[in-house]
Amino acid sequence: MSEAARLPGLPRRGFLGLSAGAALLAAGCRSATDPEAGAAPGGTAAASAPDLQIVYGSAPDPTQLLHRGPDTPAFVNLVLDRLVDLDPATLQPVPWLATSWEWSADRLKLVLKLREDVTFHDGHALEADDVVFSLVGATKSSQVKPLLERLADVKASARNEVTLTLAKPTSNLFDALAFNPVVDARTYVEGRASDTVNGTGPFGWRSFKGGNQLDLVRNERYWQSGRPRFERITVRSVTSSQAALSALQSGQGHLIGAVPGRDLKVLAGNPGFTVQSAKASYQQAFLGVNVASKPFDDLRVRQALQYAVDRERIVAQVYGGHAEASSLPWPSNTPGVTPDQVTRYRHDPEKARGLLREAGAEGARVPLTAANSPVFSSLVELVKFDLEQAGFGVDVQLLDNAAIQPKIQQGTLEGLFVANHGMVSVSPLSGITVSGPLQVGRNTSHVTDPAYADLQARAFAAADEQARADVNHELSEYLLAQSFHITLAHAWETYAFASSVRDVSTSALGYLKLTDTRRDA
Amino acid sequence: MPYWTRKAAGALATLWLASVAVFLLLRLAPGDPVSAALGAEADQEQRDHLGRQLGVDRPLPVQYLTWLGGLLGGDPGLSFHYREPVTRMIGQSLGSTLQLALAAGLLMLVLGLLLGAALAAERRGRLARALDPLTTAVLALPVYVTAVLFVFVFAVLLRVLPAGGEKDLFTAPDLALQYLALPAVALALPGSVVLARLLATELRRTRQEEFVLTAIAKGAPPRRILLRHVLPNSLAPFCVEFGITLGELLGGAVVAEQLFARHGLGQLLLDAINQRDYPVAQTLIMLAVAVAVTVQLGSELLVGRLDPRIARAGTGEGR
Amino acid sequence: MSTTTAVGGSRRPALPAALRGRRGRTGAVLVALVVLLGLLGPLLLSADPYQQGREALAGPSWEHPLGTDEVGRDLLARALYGVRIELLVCLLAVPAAAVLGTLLGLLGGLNRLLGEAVQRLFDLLLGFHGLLLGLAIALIVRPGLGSVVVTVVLSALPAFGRQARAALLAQLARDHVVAARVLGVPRGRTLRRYVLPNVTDAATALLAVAMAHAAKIEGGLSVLGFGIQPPTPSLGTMINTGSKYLFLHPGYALAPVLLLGLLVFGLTLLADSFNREKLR
Repeated sequence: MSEAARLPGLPRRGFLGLSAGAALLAAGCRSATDPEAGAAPGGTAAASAPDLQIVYGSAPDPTQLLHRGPDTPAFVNLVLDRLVDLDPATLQPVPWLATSWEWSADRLKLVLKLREDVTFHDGHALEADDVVFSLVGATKSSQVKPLLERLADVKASARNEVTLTLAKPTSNLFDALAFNPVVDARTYVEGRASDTVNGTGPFGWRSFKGGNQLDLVRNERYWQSGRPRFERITVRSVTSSQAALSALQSGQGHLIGAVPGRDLKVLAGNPGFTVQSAKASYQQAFLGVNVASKPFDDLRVRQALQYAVDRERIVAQVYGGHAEASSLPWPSNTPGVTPDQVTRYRHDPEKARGLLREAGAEGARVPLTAANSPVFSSLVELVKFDLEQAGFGVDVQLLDNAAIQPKIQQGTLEGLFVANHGMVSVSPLSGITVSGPLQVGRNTSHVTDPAYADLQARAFAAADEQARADVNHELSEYLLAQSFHITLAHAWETYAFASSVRDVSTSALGYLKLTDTRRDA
Repeated sequence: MPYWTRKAAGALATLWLASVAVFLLLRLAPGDPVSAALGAEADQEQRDHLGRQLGVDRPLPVQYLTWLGGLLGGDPGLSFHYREPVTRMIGQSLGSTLQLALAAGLLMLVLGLLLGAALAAERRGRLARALDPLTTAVLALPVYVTAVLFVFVFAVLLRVLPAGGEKDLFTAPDLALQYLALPAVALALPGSVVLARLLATELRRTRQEEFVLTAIAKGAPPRRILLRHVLPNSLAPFCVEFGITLGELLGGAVVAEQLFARHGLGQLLLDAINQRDYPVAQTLIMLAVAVAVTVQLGSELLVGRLDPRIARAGTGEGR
Repeated sequence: MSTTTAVGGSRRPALPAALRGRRGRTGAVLVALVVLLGLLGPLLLSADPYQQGREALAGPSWEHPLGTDEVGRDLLARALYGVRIELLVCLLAVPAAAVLGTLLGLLGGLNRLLGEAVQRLFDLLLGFHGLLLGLAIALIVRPGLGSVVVTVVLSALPAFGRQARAALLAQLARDHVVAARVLGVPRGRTLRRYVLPNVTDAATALLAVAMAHAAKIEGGLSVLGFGIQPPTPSLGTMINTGSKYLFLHPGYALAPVLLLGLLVFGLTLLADSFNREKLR
C-alpha cells in the first residue's frame, strides 16, 4: 500500500513536467508563438514582413467562382479582377481591367477597352476572349444572372476590345461588370474552380487544402507596378469567433475578418490592435414578411413591425456598433435617398401596439424562421423580444442554412423570417432584380403588386443620373409604405488587425483590398 | 460459438445497422445538397442540373447501395461540394485528428493510472486529500471551459503556447507538439479524472478481497501486492471505461477542434453536414462509429482475457 | 462487477447509510443547495430572465447583482433559471435513462433473442456516442431542450443497460441464487430478492457520473450551435457565450461554472460515499 501512498506527488509532477517540457521546447527549439515560426526565410528588406496571415470567420468556398454563391469568399477579389470597380463613396463605376467605355446613342451597345498590360498568373496575356468567356459563363450560372438577362450578345471586337449588345436599355449593367470576375477561358472549369483558378489579381492561387486553408503568392507580373507588397498570404477559415480572436491576440493571425461585430469589443481600447470598419457590405440582414399569411396581409400589422424593432439596439448589441440603423435596404448614400427616408421608422412600441390593436391582431402568434448562425440567432433573440413587447406572440424556428435555403428558393416561408440578402448595397435596381426577398415577380414575401414591377421597368429605363435618383427615391417610398421587407441594420464588414499592419483598404462592397497593405516586421 | 467470434459478429451487425441509420438520418434532415450549394437566387433549371450531376435524383436504395459498395471497396465517391474524392478530403484532415486523439488518449491513460493510484492510497498525505476535491472539480469542468482558460493563460497572457491552429507532426515535430499541448490536455483531463476515480474505487474494493488480505497476512511486500494482486484484478472495469472514454474523446475532439481552430475530421464533418455533403458526412460518421465499435470490441475481448469469468458467463447465458 | 458484495437478506439499504458519512452529507447538502437555488431562487428574484434592455454587458449593480448579458438581461436571474434547465437535463433525463436502460438490460438478460437485439441497440448508441448523437437528433428535430433531453437519455441508456445485464448475469451465477432456484423459489421472487437490489445499487453508483456527463453534452452541443437555443437560459449556453467575454465580464461565465461545478461536485461526493458504503 505504501507504494500507492507515495504516488500522490507524481501526477502533479507529471503535469508540471509537461508544462516544463513545453517551455523547454519553446526555449530550446523554435517556438510556435514566435510570429515567424514555420515561415521560410524570406529575402525581403528587414522593415517589411513578407507574409500576412489572415483568419477568416466563414468557410471559404472557391468551387463556383462564376456562380458566386452565398459563401463565395471576399478574398476571391485578391486573386481575380473584374472589369470595373465601384467607387466606395459614390458607387459609380471606375476603370479596372476596362480602361474606358463608350455607349452608343440608343444605349443598346457598349464598347469596353481593356488594359493591354494584364497577364494571368500562368503568364499568358489577358485577351478579349477571356472576358467574353467569363461574361457568357455568368449569364448561365451566376447568382446575378437576372442582371444580365437583357444582354443579347457579347463579342470580342478586337484583341483588347469587347462589345456588349443589349436587347433593351439597362441602367445597371455596370453592377454586374463590377461583380463578376474575369477568369481564364482556357483552363476554368466551374465546380472544380479550386484546382483551376488562374486570374489576373494581385495574388496567385497556390493551393487550397482540406476545405480550410488557402495559400496565395505574390503575382510578380501584376499590372499595378510595385504591388502587391506581400510575398504570400495565408487565409485560414476559423468559424469560432473566440478562436479567431485568440489567434489575433496571440500574434498567430495578423488580420481577422467576418467576426461578429460585438465579439470585437474585447479589442476596444487595446493599442496593439486596429478595428476598421468598411462602412459597407455586400450582404444585409432583414426581417422578411410573407404578406400572403395572416395577419400580415394587413398593412397596419406590417407597419407595427417597423415600429416594434429597435434598430439602434440591434446595431449596438448585435454588431457592436459596426453597422448603421436604417429603414431602407440600400445604403444611405444611394443617389436619390433622403435622410428622412433612412430614419422613417423609429423604435416606438406604443405606436406598434396601437397599430396592432387597430388591426385586431393583438397577441397574434406568428412564426419567425431564421438560419442558425451566431449572428442570426442573436438577431432573432432581439427581434423576438421587441415584437413581444409590441404585443405579438413569436414562435422561433432556427434551421441550418441547408434547411432554410429550399424554403427561401421555393417561397414556402410562413409569417416572418430573418435572413441575409445580397446585391441591394450595389444599387436599388440590382437589388430588386436579383435579391430573392425583394425580386420583382418572384419574391419570398409573395408581393405581386403591378406597381412594384412598374417601378422596376422605370428604373431599367432611367437614362441619366437624375432619372435614376428620382426612381430610387420613389422605390424607397414604395418599400417604406408597403413594409413587406423590414430592414434591420446595415452591417458593415469589419476587420481587426495587429497595429503593425498598415494601409488596409476595402471595396465598395466591404471586401478586402490588400494591394497596398504592408506589415512592419 | 466462442466468445470472440460472437462478439465480432455482433460488431459487424452493429456496423451494418449504423450504415443504414446514417444514410437515412442525413436524408431525413430538412434541406438538401443542391439548395445548400446554390444560393437563394438559383432557379429550378440550375437546381435540376446540379441535382442530376450529383446523382441525388436517383432512388434512395440505389444511392445507398452505390455508397455502401464504394465504401466497402475503399472508395466512397466524390464530395458533393468540392468534387474531390472523399478519401482525399478525409486523408487531408485525418492526421490532425489522429494526432490530437493519440496525444489526449495517452495523456488520459497515464494521468488516469497515476491519479487513480494516488486517490486509492490508504495512508494519505495532505496532498492526496487535496487531490480528491480537485479531481471532482476537474470532473465538473467541461472541455469548453478548460479550453478557454488554457488559451487565456498560456496563449494570451504568457504567450508560451499557440492559441490554436496546427502544424504537421512529421515535418515540424517540435512546433506540432506545441500546437497539440493545450487541446490535448484540455481534452484528456476530464476523461482521466473519470478513469482515476473508477480505478480508485476498484482498487479499494479489490484490496478488501480475501486473496489480497491473505497476501498481506503472508507478509508480501506492498509493491508486490499492488502490482501482482490488486492492480490486475482492478483493471478490467478500467479497460472498459477507457474504451468508452476514448470514444467520447473523439466526440470531445469536435469541440476542441472548434475552440482551438484545428481543421480535423470534426470540422470536416460539421462543414459536410452544413453543406449536406452526403458522401463526406456519411463516410465520416461511419468512420466514427467503426472506431467506437472496434474500441468497444477490443475492450470487451480484453476484459474476457483479464477476467475469464465474464467470457464464460457470456457463453453460458440463456441456458 | 462492482456488485459482488450485497448478499441476500442481510443487505443494508445503502442510500440512507451513505448519507450518514461526512462525504455523503456534504454531497447531499451541495446538491440540495443547488436544487433549492434553482427551484426557489427565481421566486425570490424580481428580475425577469427574458427582459432585455439597452444596458448590455453591464457590471454588477444593485439592480443586477451579477450584471447583464450581451442583450441586457439580468445574469443572476438567467443563471438561476439555467439551473432549472440543468436539473431537467441532469436530475430528470438521467434517472429516466437509468430506469429505462436498466429495464432494457434486465429484459435482455432474460431472453436470448431479445438480449441480442437490445445489445445491438446499445452498441449502436455507443457507436454514436454523445455529441454525434446530439448532432444527428438536432438535425432531424429542431435543436432545443427537447433534442438535448432525448440525446442525454439515449446516450446514457447503454451504460445503465449493460451494467444491469452484467449484474444480472453475475447474480444468476451465484451459489445462493442457484440454490434458491433449485429449491424452487419462483423466478420472479428470485429476481426481486437477489438481483434487483444489486442492479439498483449498480445503477445508483453510475448516476452521478452520467449526470456530470449529461451536463457536458448540453454544453458541448451549445458550443457547436446545436444545444438549447436562446433565449432559453441554460448553464451550458451561458458558459459558452460568457467565455467570449471572460476578460470583459468574468462573472458572466464564472457564475454558471460555479453553479454547475457545485452540482456536479455534490453529485460526485454522493456517488463516492455510496460506493464506499457498499464496500463496507
